[in-house]
Amino acid sequence: MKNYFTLERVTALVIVVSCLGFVDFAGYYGQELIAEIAILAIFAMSLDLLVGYTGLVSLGHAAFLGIGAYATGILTVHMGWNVASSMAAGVIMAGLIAAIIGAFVVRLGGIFFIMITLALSQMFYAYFLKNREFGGDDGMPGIPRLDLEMFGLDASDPAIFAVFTVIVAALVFVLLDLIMNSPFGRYLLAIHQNENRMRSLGAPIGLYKLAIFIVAGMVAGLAGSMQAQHMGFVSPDAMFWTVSGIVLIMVIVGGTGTLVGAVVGAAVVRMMSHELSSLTEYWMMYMGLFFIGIVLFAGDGIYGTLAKYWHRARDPKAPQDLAK
Amino acid sequence: MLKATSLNKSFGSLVVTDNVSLHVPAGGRHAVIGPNGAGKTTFFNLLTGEIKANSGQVVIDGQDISSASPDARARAGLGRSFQKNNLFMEMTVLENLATASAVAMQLGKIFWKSFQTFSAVRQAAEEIAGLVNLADVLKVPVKNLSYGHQRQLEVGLALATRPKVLMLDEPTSGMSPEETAVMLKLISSLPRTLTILIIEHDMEVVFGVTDRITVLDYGSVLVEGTVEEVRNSEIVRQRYLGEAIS
Amino acid sequence: MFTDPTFLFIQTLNGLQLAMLLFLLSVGLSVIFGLMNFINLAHGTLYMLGAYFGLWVYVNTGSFWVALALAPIGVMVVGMVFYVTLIKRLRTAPPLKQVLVTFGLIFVGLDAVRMSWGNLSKSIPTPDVFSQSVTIFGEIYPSYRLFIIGLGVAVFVILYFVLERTRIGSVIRAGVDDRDMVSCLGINVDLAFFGVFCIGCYLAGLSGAVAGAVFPVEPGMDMSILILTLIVVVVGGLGSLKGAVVGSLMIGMAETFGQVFLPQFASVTIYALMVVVLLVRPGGLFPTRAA
Ligand SMILES: Nc1ncnc2c1ncn2[C@@H]1O[C@H](COP(=O)(O)OP(=O)(O)OP(=O)(O)O)[C@@H](O)[C@H]1O
Ligand SMILES: [Mg+2]
Repeated sequence: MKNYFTLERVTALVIVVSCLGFVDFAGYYGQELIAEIAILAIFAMSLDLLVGYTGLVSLGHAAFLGIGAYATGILTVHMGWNVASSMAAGVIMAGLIAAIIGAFVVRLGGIFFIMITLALSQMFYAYFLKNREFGGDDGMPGIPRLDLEMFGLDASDPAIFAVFTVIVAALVFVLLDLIMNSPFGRYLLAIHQNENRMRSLGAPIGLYKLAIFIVAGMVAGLAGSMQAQHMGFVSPDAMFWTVSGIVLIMVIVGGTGTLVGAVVGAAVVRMMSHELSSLTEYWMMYMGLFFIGIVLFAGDGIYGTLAKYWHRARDPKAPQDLAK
Repeated sequence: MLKATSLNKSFGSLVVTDNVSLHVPAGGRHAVIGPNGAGKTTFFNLLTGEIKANSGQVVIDGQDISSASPDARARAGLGRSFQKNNLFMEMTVLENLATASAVAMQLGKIFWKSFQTFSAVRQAAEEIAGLVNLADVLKVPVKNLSYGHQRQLEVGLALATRPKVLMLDEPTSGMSPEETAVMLKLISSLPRTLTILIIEHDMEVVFGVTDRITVLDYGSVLVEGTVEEVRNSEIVRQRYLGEAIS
Repeated sequence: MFTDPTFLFIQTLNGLQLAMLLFLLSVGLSVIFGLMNFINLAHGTLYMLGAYFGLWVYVNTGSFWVALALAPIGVMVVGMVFYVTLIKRLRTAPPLKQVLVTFGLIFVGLDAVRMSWGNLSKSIPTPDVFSQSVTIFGEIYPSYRLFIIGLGVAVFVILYFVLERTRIGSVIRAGVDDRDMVSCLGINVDLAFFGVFCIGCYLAGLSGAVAGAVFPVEPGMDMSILILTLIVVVVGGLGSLKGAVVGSLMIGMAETFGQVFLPQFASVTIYALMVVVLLVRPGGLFPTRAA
């Protein structure tokens, strides 16, 4: 008996449908917010592949977001490529760079991995900060959006673009859900739980970590490309290390190890900072305290905690009782 | 089937493995015994590559794996269990065995099909579960399993990789007499064609399931021979076995 | 100009000065990590607090020296509060948790500083003793910068003496090598950790107070220095005093000369340096335990 309607998939479907339904009433700011959240959700899901599924805590994931964004910007603005191919190129570029970086970071564990991903991402930040050709610290304006005319749609309409981003996010979810439920995904889960045992069973750990590092880099690159199109602009700030920190927080707030958790985290954190920043100038302090509270007291995150209660309610004789 | 030649290892100035050699023919049942800290587990780690030897050679089934990585050695046919339980604690028994079976079938490259659809994996996992007496607890998360059952799963994971040589590191350690009896029966019931290398303190188990014994002491081989030879060896009696066999 | 020995000498002094500030920061971060396996991303925040506390004391007393004496103690007290409320319970937590909580603290610290002192860039004036510049090889050089170098060397000498020659020092070194062993020695591990943590905070505060007279005191000054410090620690090897010294010197020099000779690449030089070191030695130059 296979269960296709897992809690996670149903939740994802509900989120997508309600976003699409909401676009119509949302107005300009709501539509912009939906697009922004959808893009962040893609970004957060990509990081969760590393943090939640494989146990690789990266504090430099924004580098790939930035690479996707800059690739799209440079190719469209400077080289005159069309947006679709520059998007693909951004994804591939992010994947290539992830392959190079991953080749020597995946063998590192714990704190070393965290620090080195952080430092490497700052290297890209420093490069784009000083590179006048690509705008330096002023960034690079004038990035066009994907041409949706063949569907008879105008991507510059915020409602259309919001729908477009939600659909892309949904497709990313479906793809990653497929991957993480495959034997490959099972290997990653097992590596997360017990890397040594997995190795002694005969799995080449490094290769699998590298593979998921590349996938995560590519998906982050896609998010970056979408972000560049959304804002029409990219600057080195997109890859500053705090961006990596905040997306990590999103993943934690939503709950690691589930794609929907990352989506929920992206939405909650983005909306909270939106609301808080309109209330007080010192909203970052409250965000910081909120993060700390979640990390200390709700380790499973929002979706993780809710899912736990849901499963417990559905199946009251929880595993403990089966022990004998 | 498994041949180790002149393995050496020291940690700093501490020599833990001193010129140890060993040969187990196909279908052989070989025990490694010795007092605590003799270097038995280290010797296993040198064979599986979890620790790199300073020198020496390891050959399995004619294939030289002396410089291969631990996972490559596992794929070459070395399957091991650990002295300290080393399981996937957040998974159920079935998921543990299915994962190990998937690794044995090298399915990891497949990313486009649901893991649940691989019925061969499930079958293999259930078969191993039957072999190690865990068929009744398939759906139980490992962390809720009794210690004895966890030890059985430890052996099950090693078996699930379909090894040419099964290496068991003290499979009965920490078990009650009843649990030990179950484990002894389990090991005896494994197919006779399987080559087994076992570290064990319980002499009943050693004499019950093996035909040759290597005695390690301070990292070097004290005696090597058939069960009878070792049982009658004066030096082993003095140094190690004591009253265990009197 | 680039081959002019005087110019190179002056740049070397600048590099040394930055290296000493980095050393004061990284030694605390690194030894705390080595001893407690705790990584504190808010270490840069302590540095920023040191600068602001120094500024505050200076404004109220008019004395640079009082500021220099009190600011690090103030930072240490803040550190103590965090130790008792948060860090103690995080010590055995996985690195992810430590990183996230201390990352959250960065934001809290940043806004706390903005609330108290505003967004504008300020500075601490150098004391009168250092108002004169000295002339080195015919070049004018601010004497305060020489003071920073001297201070860094002094701290190093003291730390070296304490770590190598005293009982407390041998306990700390033993703890870095093998954390479990310290508890076997019958030593109050919690107290030793607490002590080391306080000293790490003190040095971070000292570094900030000293830096307040050369660099602008502003919200965000924590970020740039934090990254440099983390790189020092990664390059030098987590948990190693020697690593902190050598790493600080390398990064201080690479950053200074990088700005001069390769301005278009600027900070990229230090990252490149880090990548090269890590390619050759994944655990840093002086690894204390396997990476
Ligand atoms: N990584 C290591 N570093 C330093 N010494 C080690 C290391 N691993 C093992 N040793 C030492 O090597 C010696 C042999 O250890 P080993 O675990 O191989 O013994 P053993 O025969 O399996 O003992 P037991 O019966 O207790 O399982 C011991 O003295 C141990 O302290
Ligand atoms: Mg052992």
